[in-house]
Amino acid sequence: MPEFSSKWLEAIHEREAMLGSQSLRRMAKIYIDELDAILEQAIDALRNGDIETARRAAHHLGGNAGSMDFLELSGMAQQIEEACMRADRDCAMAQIQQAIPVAQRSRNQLRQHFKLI
Amino acid sequence: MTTRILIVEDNALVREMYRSALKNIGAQLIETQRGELALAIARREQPNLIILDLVLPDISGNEVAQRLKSDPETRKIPILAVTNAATAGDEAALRAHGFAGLVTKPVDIRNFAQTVAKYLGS
Repeated sequence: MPEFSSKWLEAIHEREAMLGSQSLRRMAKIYIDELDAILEQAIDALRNGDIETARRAAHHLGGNAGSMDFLELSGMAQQIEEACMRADRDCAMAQIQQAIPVAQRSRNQLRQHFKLI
Repeated sequence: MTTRILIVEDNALVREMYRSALKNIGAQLIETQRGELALAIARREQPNLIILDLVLPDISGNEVAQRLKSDPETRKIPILAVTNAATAGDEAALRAHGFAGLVTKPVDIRNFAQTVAKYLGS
């Protein structure tokens, strides 16, 4: 079970108050549903030399992570995007590998918090 | 006359966040995920504001803005760029490209509706 940081919980409760719990729950569900596909898209695109698709996938990951207050993952996604913009495929791939466990933790955290399977 | 905001954003989670954050702003939200469609919708609907992500699946947000600003039918519509620090560049350059302003992702949800309201009134 992931341990929630008090800072993240505070941020997510603030979002809940501003956006409504149903909306935030829908956002969490989208996050969980999309995560694997986004990571796979980025990895596959880099393997195939399609750096623009990898960049867009990283941008998408960062948007999702930032919207759910996963700021570490959002920052990592931005670094992947920047590596793609420099056409540094090896760097982007290494950063995706680093981001995967962080992304998986974030998903577990949302599943637990929102009681989503 | 109904106030309309065109949201150009391919990220479903971010669109959901916008809908909730802007639900009390008193504007009709029109959404599209594609830049080319945004150009057609802007001409047809004449929104009061366009919220435009710079990274889109078909054409870039910069190109969308450039084409909106070169079209006499859409050139006066204010455009708010939304993107992260990796893509944003500097705000002065964005303004030179015709953007009225910039919101950086992760979006500060506490101030987002207020920012949008400001550009709706501009």
